[in-house]
Amino acid sequence: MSIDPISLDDVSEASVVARKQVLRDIINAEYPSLSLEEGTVNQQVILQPNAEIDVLQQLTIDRYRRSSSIAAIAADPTLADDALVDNVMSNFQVERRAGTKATGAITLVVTVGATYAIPVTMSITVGTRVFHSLENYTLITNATLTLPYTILLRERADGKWWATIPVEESVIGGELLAKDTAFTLTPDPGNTESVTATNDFVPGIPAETNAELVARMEEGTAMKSVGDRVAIAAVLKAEFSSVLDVSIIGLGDAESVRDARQLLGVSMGGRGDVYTRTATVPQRVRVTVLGVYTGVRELRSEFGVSGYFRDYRISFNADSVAAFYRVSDLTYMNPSNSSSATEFDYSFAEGATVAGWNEISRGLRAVDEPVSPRIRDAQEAVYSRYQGTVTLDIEYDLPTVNYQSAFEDLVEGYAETATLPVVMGAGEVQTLTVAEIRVLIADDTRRIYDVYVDVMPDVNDVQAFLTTRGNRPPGTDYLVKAPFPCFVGVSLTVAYPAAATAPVVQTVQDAVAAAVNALVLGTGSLSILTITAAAQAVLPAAAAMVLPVELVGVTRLPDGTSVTQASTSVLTLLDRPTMGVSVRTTAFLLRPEDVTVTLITM
Amino acid sequence: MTLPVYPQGDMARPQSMLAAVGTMWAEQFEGRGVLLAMFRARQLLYEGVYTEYLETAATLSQNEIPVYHTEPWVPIVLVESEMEVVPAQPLTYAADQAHYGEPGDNPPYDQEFQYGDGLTTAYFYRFPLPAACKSLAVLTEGITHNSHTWVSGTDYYVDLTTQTLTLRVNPFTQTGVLVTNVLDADVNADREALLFGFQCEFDWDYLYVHYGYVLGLDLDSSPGYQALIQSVWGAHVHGPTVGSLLSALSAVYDVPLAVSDEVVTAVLDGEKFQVITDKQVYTYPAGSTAMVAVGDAVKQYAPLVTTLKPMALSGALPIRGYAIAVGVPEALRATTYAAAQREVQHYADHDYLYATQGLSMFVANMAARGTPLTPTISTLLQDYASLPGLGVGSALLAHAYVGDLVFPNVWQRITAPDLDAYGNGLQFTVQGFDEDVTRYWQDVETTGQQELSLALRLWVAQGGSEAALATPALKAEAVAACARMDIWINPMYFMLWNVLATNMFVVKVLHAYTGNNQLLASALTQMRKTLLPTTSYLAFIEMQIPEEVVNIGEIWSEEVFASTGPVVDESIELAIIEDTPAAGIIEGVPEE
Repeated sequence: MSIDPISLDDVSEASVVARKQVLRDIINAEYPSLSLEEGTVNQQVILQPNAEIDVLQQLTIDRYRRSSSIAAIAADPTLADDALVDNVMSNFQVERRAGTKATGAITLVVTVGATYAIPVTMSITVGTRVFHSLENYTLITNATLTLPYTILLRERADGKWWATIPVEESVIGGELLAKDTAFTLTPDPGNTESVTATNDFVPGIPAETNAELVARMEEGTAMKSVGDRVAIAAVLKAEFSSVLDVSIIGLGDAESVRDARQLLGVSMGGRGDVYTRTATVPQRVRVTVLGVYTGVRELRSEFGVSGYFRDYRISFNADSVAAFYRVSDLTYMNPSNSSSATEFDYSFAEGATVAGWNEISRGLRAVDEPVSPRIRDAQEAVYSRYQGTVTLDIEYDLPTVNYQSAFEDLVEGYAETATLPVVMGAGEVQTLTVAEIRVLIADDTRRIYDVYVDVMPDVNDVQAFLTTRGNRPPGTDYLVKAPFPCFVGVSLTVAYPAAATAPVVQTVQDAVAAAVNALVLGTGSLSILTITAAAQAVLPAAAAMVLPVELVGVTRLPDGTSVTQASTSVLTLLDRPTMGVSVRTTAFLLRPEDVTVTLITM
Repeated sequence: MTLPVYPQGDMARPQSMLAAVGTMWAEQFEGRGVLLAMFRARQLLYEGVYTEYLETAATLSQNEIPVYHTEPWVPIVLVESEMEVVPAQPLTYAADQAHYGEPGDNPPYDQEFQYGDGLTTAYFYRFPLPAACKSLAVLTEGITHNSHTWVSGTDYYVDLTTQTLTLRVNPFTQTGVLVTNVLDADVNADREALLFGFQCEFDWDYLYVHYGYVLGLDLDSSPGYQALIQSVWGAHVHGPTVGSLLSALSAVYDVPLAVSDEVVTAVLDGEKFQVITDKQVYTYPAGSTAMVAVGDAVKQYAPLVTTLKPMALSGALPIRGYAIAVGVPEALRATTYAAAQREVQHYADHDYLYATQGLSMFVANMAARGTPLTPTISTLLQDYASLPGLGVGSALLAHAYVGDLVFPNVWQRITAPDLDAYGNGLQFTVQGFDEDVTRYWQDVETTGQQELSLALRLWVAQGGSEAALATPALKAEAVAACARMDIWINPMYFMLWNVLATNMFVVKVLHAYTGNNQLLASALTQMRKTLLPTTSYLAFIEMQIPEEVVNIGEIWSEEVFASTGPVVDESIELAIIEDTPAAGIIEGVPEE
């Protein structure tokens, strides 16, 4: 920590003049003939230095006083020292949140099964972002070896090999990277087919700025307990590093629905809804579930494909996806037709594109626990740990290959009890009877799906914390929920000189997403000014934004319906208090890949 | 804050400073008088530094931090070209005083006044006040030697609204005042008069810069702002207590509460209303009404006047809000009767008075059955009796309506309600837009179909078996019994008791007697921070306007009665309105 001495250059002329007037008045009152006018020796050697020293003293005291106030420090570049800020914050029991690095896993596919070295010095890059493996790993093909930091390469049905490698970014605060994002390895370990993000990366969290610290100071004054709104926010942020924002709805708030839904229709209190944002953007989690065949439909030309559709229905309900928002992607495991005389290959290649899916219902989940908040129906439970079973109707077209025919050719002459080795997924081989295989293939009543779900993490844990006897005040009823989502899409155009290097799209996407995701609960609108300011800040000086900037927001309401808004100026959050939806309970959520950046030259 | 004292030390003694520079200068140097004068002047500057040092030390405490920065001596430079000459006694618009217009309109004056004229030929001299200046105690033309000492309020006044300083005399014509010419290209372009202000206060945003920003609370600097900071901060530290909430409301409305456990020693009503205790003197606007008497021991946070009055709902409501007096099935009558008797006895035991019309009738019914009643006097019921009703806005309603719903404080008798098979159909008075009221009862009955209707709930509360309602025949019998009910209901009490009592309390504010330093209503948003989220309060703000009392009985028209608006309803008795020439508003906690 250092504070530079005040320079005479910092002394205002007006202050010096005022002090000289005081000095001159007192001295001339006793010695009127003593010349103290400007330009006289007395003025220059007595009044001027005394006045300046006096101003310096007052400025020093003034600076000392302001150094105890973050508001004053933030407004004064000469005091804006992080160490000084941290000293002041310690009096409020608030510590600057250390930043975290973006982490995730990459899937490396190589064409040859061999041993490969993945040292921590290897650069795993996407755009300007650089990642490294967590350890010095060795990829091996021998599953019997269990050496430290070895990762098993697995063979796919197509003869290629793959492995999953955990990585982290080299700097803190990196934005979300979407599943399937392609990376480059430097140096290349050899035989590389592809390197992609296995799942969504967990975005990093930047170190707290002084402005963010100020926003948290009030919570520093509060006792860390389940008391008033400020105290609850403070204790949750102290307990959970993932809790970024909290908005608490209770008696007297129009969005308080649970305490009003009784015979007389007037809020009676006793219940609170705690909306917690636990990630800048929802994490995308994969869930593998079984689908049940429900029938064949006619041609659905609106999907741009021809043929008949087979409909399946899936349901899922798991702790790992509590408080989930939506299904963002869905693939089914497609049995490939690499049959041979001795085995039928049912291994799971990448799934075919699903034509579409519809959410049929989202239920209320019964949880076996001593104390639960009172929830009357599924709408009240939405985006909480008590959100129940989700049922989706899935539509996809029939495979182009007639598996049933191929299978019948294969098993011609075999008895139904005869057994065949069947390659299932990931090289797993099972021995099944012909009858059992027929169920899998010919009947086709069940399918295995990979469902990618957008989830706000840790809501279960926060709910458990507030419900625990050691934390819960008697007679209270708190329901923890993820904020209602307003999924944002942004489309913008950047012009840059033809002779200059093109701006990096990923950098602009990250900056815009970070700015939007930084809007706290209670921010009622998203202006294009937020977008343009964030983008312009990372663009080269010669590049410029081109209007219009298009904003799209999709808010999913508790009843399952979605409201889409579009604007070229500002998106305003919905106000549906009888559903609990308002600016205090809805969050703007923007994934970097949902920022479409068009580059043009000028 | 520690106040500066004189002498503060050697810096305040010119002789000491002179001695410090050496014997030759102090004793032999012929010009030592000049040196003394210089040290005296230097000491005066040091006094300013020292004052700021004390203020800086005081900023470390939210209790001690000064609202304004004080400068011991400040040069006030008045520019002649900025001087505005204004009438010493401006005219008014009042008909019985001198005003603009024809001579005949201005008795006893026989002159015609034009715009800009004053009542007398005297004029005042107005100048801009230095930036951020909040008060100016004394003005002089010199610090140590002066022939004029002008005092605020007598010789000049400071108008913070227009940020101006108005002097009774023209400073440019006063002897002794240093007037200098302002040259522009060697030409006298203007003149400046130099005065010195003593103990000038400047708003340096001390409160916001040091504490307000932490709470996200940015108001104009004032003692009320300081009090609000202290109360909200205290709520965060000590928890959401009644004391925290009341102290915040006290700051917002500038109605002091007892700051500690004290004993009242005097109650004085004069130009100001004062409650004096053994530790403090509390001042309120004249005409305030004391809640305490001499000799009373009061606890911290206790209200001392009726201007700000908390009324807890939980456990202390004087009446349940309904009473089934006659017409219940014979089989249940004994149970109902016994339950009602216990309730009445409970309140009698707890010193509550039954004075309301409906309840009096209820009591009369009870008395007719030979039940001895011994009601005693309490002021508690009077608190509630003065509330015209309970207004409920969207913040407290489960469904969306066009306007607010009002549950009036009026007893009404409901006999033989027309009930459907679910027992729906029992309704009491709810005021609001017609469509809202209709829809409200539809919503209530929809819930009544899914759960238990209002009539059946009353039936159960009076001793009916809820388990029996699972049997269709018994349920039909219960509904039939409900249809024979003879019931008294007070909608306001009913909602307070059955819905709001547990998690809500009422604060009644007599707006006419709140203090002059009350804060903007937006400061009430801070209350949301100081409450348990599962609780809230209702603010009943009584807006008394004594000068505009009207005889409602004369002007009330049929058209007004026919209004579908939420304010007026024929079920409110005129007598109540006439007795209380006030508009009552009850709102939930304001949103942030």
